[in-house]
Amino acid sequence: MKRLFFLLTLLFFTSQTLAEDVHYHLVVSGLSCPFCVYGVEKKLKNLEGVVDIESELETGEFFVKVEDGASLSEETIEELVSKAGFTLVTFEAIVLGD
Amino acid sequence: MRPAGALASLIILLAPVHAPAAPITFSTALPVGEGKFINREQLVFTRSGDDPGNNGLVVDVDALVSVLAYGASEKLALFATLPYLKKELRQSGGVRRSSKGLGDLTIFGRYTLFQRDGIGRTLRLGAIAGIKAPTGDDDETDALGRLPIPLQSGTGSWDSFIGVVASSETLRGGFHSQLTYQAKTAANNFEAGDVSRLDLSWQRRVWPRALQPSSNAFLYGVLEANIIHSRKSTVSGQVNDNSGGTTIFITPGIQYASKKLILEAAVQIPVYQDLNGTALENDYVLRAGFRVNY
Repeated sequence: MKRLFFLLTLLFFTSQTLAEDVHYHLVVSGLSCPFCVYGVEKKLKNLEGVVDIESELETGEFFVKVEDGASLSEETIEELVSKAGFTLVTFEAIVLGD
Repeated sequence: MRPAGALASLIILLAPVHAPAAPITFSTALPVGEGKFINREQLVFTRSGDDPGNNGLVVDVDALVSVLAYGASEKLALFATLPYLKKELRQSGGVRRSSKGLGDLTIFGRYTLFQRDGIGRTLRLGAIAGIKAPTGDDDETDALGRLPIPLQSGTGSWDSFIGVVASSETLRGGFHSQLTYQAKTAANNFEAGDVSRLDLSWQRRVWPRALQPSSNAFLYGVLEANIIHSRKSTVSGQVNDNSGGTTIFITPGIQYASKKLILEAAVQIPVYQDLNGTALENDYVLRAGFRVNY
């Protein structure tokens, strides 16, 4: 029983250590009102693996969280933002927790 | 009864609200994302009762104008506009004539020619072109006979228009302008005069005063101007000297914009009317509506 508990504990901490909490930080230009922001958010939400989006209109920033194992490419995001009618300025992947 | 052509100036007031974006009385160059739909519904109440002919003529036109916008690509947006109209003419002596029904369908496209984006700002220029199909009923009658064309729900004519639209918008507000030319064609022995118009809109964010990260809705004060010139109409090939002219509206309004919804209201006040002959002058146009971001 002790051995089983040890193995489960080890597995838990190992998985926590290996998990990469990936966020993406985007800056989009051309956004001038809340109505515009929704157009970009909706496109991002439709991407596979995206679980959460936060935006800040004044700076044009979007913080995109994806599920474990998912990733976004700059080319995909640039095309998506362009199709929404705006311009991608910066794209940055932020890996937390490893 | 006054000649039908004397009411022709009403047609310019029924021009459909073109676009689902910033200005309240006309279009914008702001984007409709590819594959995205925006729906706009606007109630328009128009009263024309300043009758130089002293016949006590009053015409009310109440309209619900539905607009559906679709982003065909990142540069091309398509729009369809369909009004439901209720028109009533009253004249001294107790004469009252009216009609109601769906009006003419307008379909047009807007292509973005120029786009310069910055953080929290954008500058865009677009070209627009479209046609108005005679889908509305244009042969309605009452006890006095066939209604004059301006009182019909539809015009019966295929019309077209071209124009340019420009928008400069920041987080504090924006400026929009549109220049259009509408070419009319004849139907039912009546041809409305071609219409040229210049529209201007200035918007200023009044709330929130200072942006916060949580600011997800804006309230704008809006001031617009509409300069509309209509040529004389013809009835059975004869030029009607009691039609056409120039009208300038000043339009104060208010607009609430959130991520998914825009609410807006404005009143168009005619500050200058130089109409030909005894063409009926406009008293006011009230507009109120919403837009939904799908």
